[in-house]
Amino acid sequence: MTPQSKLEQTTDAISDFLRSGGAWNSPLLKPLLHGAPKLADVQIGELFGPFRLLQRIGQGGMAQVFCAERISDDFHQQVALKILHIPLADDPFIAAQTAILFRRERQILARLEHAGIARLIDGGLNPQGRQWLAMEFIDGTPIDVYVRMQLATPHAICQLMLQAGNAIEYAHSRLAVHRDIKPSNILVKPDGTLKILDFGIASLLDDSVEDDPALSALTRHFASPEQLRGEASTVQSDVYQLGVLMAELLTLSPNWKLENDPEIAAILRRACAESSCERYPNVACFNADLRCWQAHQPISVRQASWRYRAWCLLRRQRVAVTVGAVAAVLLIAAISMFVWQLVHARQRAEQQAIRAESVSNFLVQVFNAASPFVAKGQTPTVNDVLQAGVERLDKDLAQAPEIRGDLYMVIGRVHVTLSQLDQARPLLERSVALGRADTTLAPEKLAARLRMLGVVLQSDFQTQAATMLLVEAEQLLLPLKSAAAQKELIGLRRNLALLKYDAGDLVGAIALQRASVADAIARFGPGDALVARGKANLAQFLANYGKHSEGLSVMKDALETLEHTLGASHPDTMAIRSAYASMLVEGGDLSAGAPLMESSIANALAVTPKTSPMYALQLASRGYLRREQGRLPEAQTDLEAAYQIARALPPADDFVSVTVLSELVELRLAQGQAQAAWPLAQQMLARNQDGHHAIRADLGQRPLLAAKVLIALHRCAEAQAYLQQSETLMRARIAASSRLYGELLALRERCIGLDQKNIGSSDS
Amino acid sequence: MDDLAHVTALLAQAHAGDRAVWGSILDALYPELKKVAHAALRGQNNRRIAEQDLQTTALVHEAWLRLASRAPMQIRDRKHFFALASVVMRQIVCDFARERLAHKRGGALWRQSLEDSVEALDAEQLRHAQRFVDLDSALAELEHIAPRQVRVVECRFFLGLSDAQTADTLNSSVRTVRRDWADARAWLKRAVSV
Repeated sequence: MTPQSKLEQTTDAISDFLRSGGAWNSPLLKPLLHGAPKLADVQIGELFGPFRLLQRIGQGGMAQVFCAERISDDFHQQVALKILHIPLADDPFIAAQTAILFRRERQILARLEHAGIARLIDGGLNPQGRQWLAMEFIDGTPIDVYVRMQLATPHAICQLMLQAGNAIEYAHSRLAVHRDIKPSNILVKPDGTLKILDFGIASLLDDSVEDDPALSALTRHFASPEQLRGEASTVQSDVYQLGVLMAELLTLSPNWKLENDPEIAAILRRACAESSCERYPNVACFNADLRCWQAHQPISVRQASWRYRAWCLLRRQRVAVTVGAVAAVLLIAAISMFVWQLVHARQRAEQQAIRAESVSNFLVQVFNAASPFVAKGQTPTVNDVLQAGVERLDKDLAQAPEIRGDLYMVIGRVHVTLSQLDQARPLLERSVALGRADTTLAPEKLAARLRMLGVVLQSDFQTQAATMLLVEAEQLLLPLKSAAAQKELIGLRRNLALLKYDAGDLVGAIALQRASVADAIARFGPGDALVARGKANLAQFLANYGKHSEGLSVMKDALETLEHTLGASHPDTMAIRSAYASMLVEGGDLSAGAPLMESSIANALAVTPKTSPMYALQLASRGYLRREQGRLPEAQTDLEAAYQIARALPPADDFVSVTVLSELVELRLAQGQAQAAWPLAQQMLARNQDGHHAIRADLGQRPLLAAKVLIALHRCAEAQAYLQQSETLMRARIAASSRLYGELLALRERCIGLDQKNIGSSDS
Repeated sequence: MDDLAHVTALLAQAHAGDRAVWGSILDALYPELKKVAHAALRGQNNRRIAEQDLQTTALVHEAWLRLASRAPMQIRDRKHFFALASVVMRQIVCDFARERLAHKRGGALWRQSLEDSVEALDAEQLRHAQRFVDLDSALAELEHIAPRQVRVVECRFFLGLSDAQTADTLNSSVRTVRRDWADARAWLKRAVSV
């Protein structure tokens, strides 16, 4: 910032300060406004739960802190007791809701048991309704004071940062984000070990006390850019704060200069990147680089970035199993891709709106933290949290339709990422209804809501309803000239093309996708990722239309474009490479397809938690490849491992177990064990029921597979029923993939052939 | 307006020596004061009303306590009440600012605490505290030159009255209030430099 502009800013700030009612709006008054008089009645000796207040040791805008002791004859325990100044609302409903959320958050905190985290010992409401927390009492020095006193070297600082990082990483794995990492929250004990204080308490407070950084401005210096913008804090906000903390501590180290240490500079740059996307994806990666630096190994900023990207890739391309139904994969991948893009689009436009002051960032954060991608596959009580969120929204934000609509969208999106489309739908419907009724709402916002709902309906094969929504969104976007709106429009048309495909209009789908690709090239140039994504769609349509070789070449073209523009390890590139490999393998070109598919699966496996659905799907995918290659024992190993994972998944994830089971059936058939295949096929069918998730991806291939088994067992009469079922599905749901339909016809003939043979043999 | 007329009548009664009336006056004026505070807070942001209510209560309460501790006889009528309230608000806020700064200079003892606290030495808050202290002394100077402008600043800036309400409270015209407000701001801007 130039001195001139700094000066102007200051002058503006003073004018702003000296306005009517300015005194009330000053951050100085915030503590005064938040009820200092209410605190006066806390007395030394007073009881909070089993603790007696001994001495006041601090007071702030958000809490008073006392040293307290447990009243017990058995043992002596000293705690730091924090009494939050959350003024409970007069409205008993709000009060009850606050209490519920408070209790829930406390439960999360109570789960944090780590040597580096000051433990939450107890908490509750006293008879006056005041919320209190008893924390482990720590006798230590704030980390910055410690560093200054010890004249710590950069290596010693690094060691401290690793300790802090480990503790925070642990908490992240337990769904707690700190949000307020700063020197005074990290105490170093005389033995050199450290403890982090107040984990998640900031978020606890933010629910009731307004989280407006401009007003609270408590630790602005350490706040991440997204926090300053008022967006939800995430794991990456903590990464940012750790980076700032480390930079701060290093400046306290004698004789240390940033410019003399390019590697540390690179690590800090990455940790404190403005966009959370460019930061370390998690604290573990930050720690890993610190360790490398300590050990004088090359730091892996590049590698870490690749990992993150691969992780992103998995988030979208979570169903990369090629069970012969490219369309299903395509469809689901399109949804995940859309969700993923949305997450990123949020950083631009949507969050601006969500930022609105009365939105409880706490809720948003709970939602985000509950996403299994953030929580590494753990989704405890996510439905409770979301449900509580919806109820709160209805009550608290009745007067703010725009924000309410935004938040329905946020919650709906979380449900979508959890594959809970049934739960997502009513919320998105409400969001759309609110948007339609609100004439002041920005058209691109309504379009985004319409698109989201459309995609959910699309995945439920409600093609017509979805099309109407997307066309409505298209009409909203058409007059907008901004590049973002244009890009959204091109993405929207990709969904529309898929819908045409679903409706059986393969020719129309191809035409629309071709036009949209041409449009994208004209507007954004041939090298844009949008163009490549459109081409990938087109390629799969073409392949299913029977133009396999043209499809392959379009896909290859898309892949090369992306490798050139985004690089080989970009998630888009990897997604398309994987699709290309699958097409090659499905087209029978094992020599070219297998190595590509192999490497894409290996990459995915390397970055996926071993118990996650994605891991199982990737294993199934490899099982499929091995079977195609004739490496049946290896295929069996992969599929059995995949089945173990799939069985342990919650029932909502039946897509995975059904997919794995169908691969196992295929394997048994390939091994010539039709007898063993049948019970597996029955299991598969039992899970492939209406109303479940798995059946959404059934384009007829599963009854078809059952028929295949029965025919192999020469039980043709039974097989007929499945063939019929399969045909119905194909006709109802999709322009029957020519490959699948061809297989159906072939099996029919086979059946007829077998029947004749049977008749012949019984005659003789 | 009936309520307000009622308040003025009550004040006259209290003034005439009926101390029991004082309680009713408090009850009637307290919501008034809160209304003014809400309007001021609503000025630039659209927070939920319930939240505003929580926020304003404490400060209004404090202002109220200070006003109530004065002998009722000192308050002549409703206008006078607001005029006093604006002075009281200035006192409360500026005292608070000085307290904050003193706390900082006193050498912040570090404590294990939530620490968003007074001791957190939050730069933004401290800057504002300094502003209020500067403002207070600038107003003290202005008092010698243009006391009417000071009253306007107290009503508008500290209490958050509109210019019409200010004119009413100070028995002045809206135009005069606007001119005074503009002059005072220009003068104060130079004094408050941080």
